[in-house]
Amino acid sequence: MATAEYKHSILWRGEDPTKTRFKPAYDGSKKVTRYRRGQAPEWAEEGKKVQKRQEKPEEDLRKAKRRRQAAAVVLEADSASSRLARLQRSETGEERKGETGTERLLRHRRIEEAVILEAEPKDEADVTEEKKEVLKEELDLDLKPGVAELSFEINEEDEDLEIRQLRREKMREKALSKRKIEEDVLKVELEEEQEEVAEESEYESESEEDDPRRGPLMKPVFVSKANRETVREKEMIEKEEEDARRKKEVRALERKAESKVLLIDKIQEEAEAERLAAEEDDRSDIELLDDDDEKNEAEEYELWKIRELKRIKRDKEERLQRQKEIEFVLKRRQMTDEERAKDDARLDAANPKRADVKQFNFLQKYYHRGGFFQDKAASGEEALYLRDYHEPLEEEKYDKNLLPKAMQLRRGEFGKKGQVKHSHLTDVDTTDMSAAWSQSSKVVQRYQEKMAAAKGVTNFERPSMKNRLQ
Amino acid sequence: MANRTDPDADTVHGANPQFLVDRIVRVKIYNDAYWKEYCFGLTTESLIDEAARLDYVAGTYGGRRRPSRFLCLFLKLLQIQPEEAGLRPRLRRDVVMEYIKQPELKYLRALGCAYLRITARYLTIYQTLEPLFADYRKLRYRDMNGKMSIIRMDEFVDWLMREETICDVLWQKLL
Repeated sequence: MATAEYKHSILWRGEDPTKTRFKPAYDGSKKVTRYRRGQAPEWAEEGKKVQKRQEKPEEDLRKAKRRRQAAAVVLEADSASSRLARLQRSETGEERKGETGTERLLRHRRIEEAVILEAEPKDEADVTEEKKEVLKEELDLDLKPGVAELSFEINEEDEDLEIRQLRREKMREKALSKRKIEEDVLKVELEEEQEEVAEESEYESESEEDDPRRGPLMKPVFVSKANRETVREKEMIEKEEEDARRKKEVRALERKAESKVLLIDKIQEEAEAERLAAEEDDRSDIELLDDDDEKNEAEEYELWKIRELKRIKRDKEERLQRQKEIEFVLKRRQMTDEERAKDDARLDAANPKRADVKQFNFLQKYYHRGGFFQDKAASGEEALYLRDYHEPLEEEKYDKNLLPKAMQLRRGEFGKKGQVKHSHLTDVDTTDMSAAWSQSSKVVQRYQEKMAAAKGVTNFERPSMKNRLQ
Repeated sequence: MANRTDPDADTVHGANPQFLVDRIVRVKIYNDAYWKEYCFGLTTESLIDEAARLDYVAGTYGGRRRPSRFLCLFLKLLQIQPEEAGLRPRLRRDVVMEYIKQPELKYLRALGCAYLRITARYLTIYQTLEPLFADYRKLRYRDMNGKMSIIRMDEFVDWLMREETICDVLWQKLL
């Protein structure tokens, strides 16, 4: 669609402001709550609403906790979907219509449940059984609801520090006792895998909350500094770094030295070149050629004589040539026509025109010799001009009639950009050979002779009395 | 200003004598360091000294067609026209004749020959230059590519008489 009205067309010029309804930027329906200094915001209600929220989701949380502990693998549904779900919920906001600020805060603080994928759907009975088992594992866990200190709640909104501290201590005691029980079992393992211990000793510093959830712990055994892997590793790394650094320094020094050497070489080279260039100047050339006339006087004299004689000869010849020309011109002026014809014949014989035209093969390429430098060709100075460029090539000796019609072209044409359909002129000759006048039969010949003014065309004899009288 | 022909000078062949050298070559000479430094304010006497320092005969040479010192002095001669005006015609060209006659400095002789060839009439040229065929002294010659070679004085004079272009100067053909 190429109309201007269509939004995605190339002719679209934009929204027509007269067509759209005007929406003011200020929307009076929305109420903006202002913040004022000294005034508590609406959602900051003290106490009451917070407690209410606590009791309700307690059971849910405990259930969640159990499930987490029991399941081999707890997988969350992919974060995207859960996030999306949350967003959608937030957008619709059904539950939260009448919510106050406090409630919203509590809601935010509550951690959403993780969806278990691996654990099989269990019956109620199984769940309770599992619960018991889990509880048995976890020693001394109080199942009584409502006792905030002992129940393992993740509610971080417990602002009471003391309670939290007490809880922590209790957990620690529990963990310690557990370890003592399992110490014997693990002693054997310890001896085999001493390395793990190192990890375990670090393990100590991990958060307390993780402890009851982990499996059987290893007893941490002290490893002296010398034997500690970590320390050893650290030392190795440090040593390597140091080595690398030292090597780098050494290499840097080497490179410096190299570059210095290179620089020196380069400078030397340049100096040499400069010197040579300066020398290359007139001076050296001049000095090479000796200007001295004292040497080889006899030889010089001989050479001079030769030159002088040559010059004399040259002058004489020039004079002679000039003389001949004048003579020739005068003589020719005095000739009769006959003599001139004879003279022409003689001259032609003496200076033959271009050599006989070669017989060209079918579709042999013609080479034009060009209009310049033909004096050189005539005189024979330049050997290049004496070459015969119409000697057929190997591909031209080959009979091109055997080729398919498309390939019957001159050399260098087929398959190239310069290829044209035209091959040779007679190919496009449309002369009608069947015309009566173009036949070369006797009848036609006689007819032509009989035509007016055509009778004596081929007869070159002079009209004589003899013929007339006949 | 510095390259102006001497205002007292006569015309040669009906034109400013300096114009006997082509414009391109002339400009090249004017821009040459040797011309600017040494050929400034030369007289016929100091020219002799300069000519004594000549090493070779050449026109322009090299890739950028550098003018040779010979050519610079040649143009200088054309500029100052070493003929004393006011003298009787017989005494004119005395200086140049002296240049040619003197036997010591062969490059000066060559210079004189060239100057004579370009300015004088053909009778004078023939009369003066023909005896010089006897001089077979060596001259260094630098061709257009910059290559040095040895020629003889008589060869050089022969060229002057016959060739159209020597040393990047066009010479009128003699009859």
